[in-house]
Amino acid sequence: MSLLAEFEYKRPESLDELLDLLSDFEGKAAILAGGTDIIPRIKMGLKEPALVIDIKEIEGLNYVKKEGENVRIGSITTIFDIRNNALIKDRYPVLHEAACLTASENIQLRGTLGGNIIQDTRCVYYNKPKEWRASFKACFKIGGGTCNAAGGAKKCFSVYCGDLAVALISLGASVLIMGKDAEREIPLEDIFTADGKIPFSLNDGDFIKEVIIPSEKKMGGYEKLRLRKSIDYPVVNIALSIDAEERGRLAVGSVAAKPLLYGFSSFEELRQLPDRAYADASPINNMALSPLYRKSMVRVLSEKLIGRI
Amino acid sequence: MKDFKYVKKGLKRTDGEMIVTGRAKFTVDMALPEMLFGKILGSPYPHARIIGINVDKAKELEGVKAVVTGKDIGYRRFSFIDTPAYPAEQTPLAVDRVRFVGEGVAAVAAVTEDIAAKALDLIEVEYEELPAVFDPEESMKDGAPAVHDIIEPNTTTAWEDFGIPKAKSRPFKVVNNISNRTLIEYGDIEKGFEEADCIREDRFEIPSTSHVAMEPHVAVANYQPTGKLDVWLTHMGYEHKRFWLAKLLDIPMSMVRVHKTYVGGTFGGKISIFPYEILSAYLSRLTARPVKITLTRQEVFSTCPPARRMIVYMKMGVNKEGKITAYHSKVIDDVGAYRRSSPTAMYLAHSFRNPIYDIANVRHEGYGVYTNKLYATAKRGHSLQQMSFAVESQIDMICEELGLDKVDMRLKNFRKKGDVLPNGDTLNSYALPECLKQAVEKIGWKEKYGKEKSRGFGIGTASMFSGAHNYPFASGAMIRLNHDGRMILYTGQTEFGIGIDTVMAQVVAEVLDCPMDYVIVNCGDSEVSPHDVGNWLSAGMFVSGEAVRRAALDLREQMLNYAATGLEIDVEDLEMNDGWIVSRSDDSKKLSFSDMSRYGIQMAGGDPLIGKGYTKCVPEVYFWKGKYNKTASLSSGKGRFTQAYGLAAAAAEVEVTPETGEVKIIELVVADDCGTPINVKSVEGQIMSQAVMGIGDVLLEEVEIKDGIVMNPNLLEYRVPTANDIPKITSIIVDSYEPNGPFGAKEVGETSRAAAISAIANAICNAIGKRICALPMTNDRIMQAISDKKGGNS
Repeated sequence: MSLLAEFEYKRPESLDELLDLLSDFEGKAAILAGGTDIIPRIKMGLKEPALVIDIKEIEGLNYVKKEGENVRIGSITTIFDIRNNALIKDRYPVLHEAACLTASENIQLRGTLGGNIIQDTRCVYYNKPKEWRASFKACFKIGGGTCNAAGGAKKCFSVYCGDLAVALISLGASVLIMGKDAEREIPLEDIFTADGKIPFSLNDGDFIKEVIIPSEKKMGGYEKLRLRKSIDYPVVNIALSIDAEERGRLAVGSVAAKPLLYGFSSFEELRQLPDRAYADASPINNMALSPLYRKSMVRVLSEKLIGRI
Repeated sequence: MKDFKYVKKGLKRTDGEMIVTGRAKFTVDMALPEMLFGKILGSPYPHARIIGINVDKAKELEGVKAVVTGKDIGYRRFSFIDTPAYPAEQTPLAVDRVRFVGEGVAAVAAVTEDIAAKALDLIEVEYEELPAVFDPEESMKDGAPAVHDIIEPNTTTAWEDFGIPKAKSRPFKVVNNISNRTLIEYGDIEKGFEEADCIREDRFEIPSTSHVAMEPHVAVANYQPTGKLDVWLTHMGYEHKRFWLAKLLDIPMSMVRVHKTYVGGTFGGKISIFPYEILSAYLSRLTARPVKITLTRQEVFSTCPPARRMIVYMKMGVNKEGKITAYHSKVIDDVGAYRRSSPTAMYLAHSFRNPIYDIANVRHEGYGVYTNKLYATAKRGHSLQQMSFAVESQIDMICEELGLDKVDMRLKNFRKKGDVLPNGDTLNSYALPECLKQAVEKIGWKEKYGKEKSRGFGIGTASMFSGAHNYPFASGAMIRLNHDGRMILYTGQTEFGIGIDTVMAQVVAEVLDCPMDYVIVNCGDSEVSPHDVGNWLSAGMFVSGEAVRRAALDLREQMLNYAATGLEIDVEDLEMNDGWIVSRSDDSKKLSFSDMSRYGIQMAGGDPLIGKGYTKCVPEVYFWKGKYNKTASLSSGKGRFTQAYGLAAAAAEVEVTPETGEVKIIELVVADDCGTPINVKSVEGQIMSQAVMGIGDVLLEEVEIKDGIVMNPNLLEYRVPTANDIPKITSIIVDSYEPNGPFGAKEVGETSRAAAISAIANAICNAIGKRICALPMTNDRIMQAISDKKGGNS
């Protein structure tokens, strides 16, 4: 039923308090910021947290600032604020465009950077209420041993559909992760496991405090194919960032549990990438539109984006 | 024609403030003291025998007040159609067998919705899975799993209850899963095809789409100790609701009161009766408390019937001059688990297209076929959009083969004003040619067609009844004059977004020449309103509006007669003017409406002055007793259908991105012949909303069903167009003046959608140079068609 299950609810006011709660609840806690990803999942019975930690009261997580070589964005900065930030618009067109094309304006107003990055993977057989799923066997992602989208498959094929992470990966961004006893900075792409069942490598007590972007200005852009001009998750999304020396990265989202990532150090190399990305993408029939179409759009959109930039 | 004062104006809605400030009460807002909440447990299997249901644990849960199963309620059958030929076969809860995923097997009433939901988890159902069939064409083959065996009525059918002579309930043996058949023939199609220079045979497939009403399906029932049942429903007319609630609960129909509510949209999807409505009433009687059942969006998508899924085999013959010589349509209506309105749909599939082209040789076959899928129902145009897509697509294909101009070819084949259709209906108003001419002119067809690569142009046509012949297409209305000179209009029309309060007040104000605020509209309350057909088959203005007009005329005559006596002048010398009754020859002699109320009470023996009006859509069709029986036939298409046809033509210009298959609609023009637009703004709203719906139909919408399971039962995966997806739409009202309608009005609510669908679809195929014979035309389908070397030309 689309009723919210019962859970404990806490609103810590400091990072330390948050980290204590995360560690005390050992993986049974869920973090609530904008709630646009987690709330529907709790309603559908996909997540059953014992504790929901609302982090909106924690000071000092909402910012976009230039600091030394880097631009740092706090994890509860809303997508709408990112979209409207002049520094980002000026330096990282890829991120600005991705923010503009994320969901709809009302979701951008609630959704946050951190939440958008660690949104869980999706599948038409998975993101459904419990009573709908009663017609199927429990799939890998739910803890069972089947894939309902691809009969006979040995793993989960759910898809990462985030917008911002794909743009940030193209920028070479990293994330600052706070744990109970330590903090660490790792490249954003490294938090992805490429396994749809458990798409992120974060530990139970981990929290993404901020995203760090190398401060140099980068040319680039973002292409998102979606069925409607609002709301929809991408059918395919492509992000491209290039520095002054023709070096850069192309990232492809929504074809697997982890964005595909390609580095290049010349335009010559960049022009090879659409074919490579096309060859690497192997979507299955678990999202809107046919897998064949989604695969072919990887090349089409990459070429379109390269042509545009 | 005299100028209208209130009619044919774009007056603002009288209830607009109520709605936009959230004060209008919808059923979903209803809360009664001591009210319980109901939930229904659905089957996870498309086809299974119920071996046993254990409800003990659910009953023990604190807060649960009642749990019922199909066995408790038994075989109380209902359907949209319930005739001796097609007896009802659905029950409120499955008794021994489930036939689609989501079919109810048990229901709970509890003090909160939460507890009711938890109780469902505690119900244990043992099923034995049965082989299921999902493809209607497989379902018709020998040896396919039988969805139904013999349907054995245990009561009279609705047809008998309505008093149709000679009707007698009998068992219905289902053979090859065929639920119903229609065969309509005239002329000689063999001869017609011999005369053709081009014959095309194509197969079209149209999926279910959902109605996506803003308000979900919801019911509140309050069974009283007196034996009276009060209900608040989200619906399109109370006659069907109270008939079925009374019949299924064995209470007199007059003891069922369907209260007035605002209704958050229906689009055909809330017609007739649904299990959750019967269950809320049943549970209320069982617990002696009010019970509310609100379906979640997922439940609406998965358990409430969407639009009909059809496979249409079209065969048309056209000669070199562009004249259609023969037309053969064979429609397979995949009805799902229950037939519901399929017999109606299969005859409408012919009769809605019938007034468009003048074709001498016609054969229309319709088959309703059971499958183990969610059952289906009417949606805005009930079969019209499916048939318009098929027919208008094929006409374009033929025009391309024969090198004919697509506009001229259609103009050549249109019927004419005054034509009598093969079933006897007369086209007293008919402006379809003007609609098409205006639509193509606005879109710039002549200048732009075929000029630019990746740009495509398409046109489409449609027509629709203004109410129909069969029960209960009649309406009555009453207008009561009050002491202050204002009036209360009682009409059985339901306000589900169409502006009934406003347009009916306009009709009354026009007849009585009084300010709009003299008229208070009380609509949709079954206990105070006279018989009314409800707002479906586009009967609202044509039938009920005419009843209201006649009630106003009746009251007018009464008031004028008393005024003549009171003023001691000739009635011929009196007229109504802005809320006064005035002598034409001496304007110092005048009386207010309030004076007339007092006259009636004080001088005319206490006469309260009540105007009464009524009308029947097709008076020539009737049934009563013995020899008084002249019904029309749905299965052979014989007999009168309607009194007036609404018509529409649309033209679209689109651009398709050849690399991605994305469609951009540059412009959509819809010209609608609706007769006199009673409220110009409302009519424009009707046309626009249908154009928007049509865009969804062509580009996005499909209730995807896989192995009997609705795969996209939410608003994220079932995609309706957002505001950002809406292109420039132009609506053109072509007023043909329908002599049988109130002030010349006729249907407006259902034609434009089908015209828009066929225009957009044709434009896309024109842009890509390939023909797609299925909806929706999603990006991947378009790319498939572009890359398919074997695809047809366009």
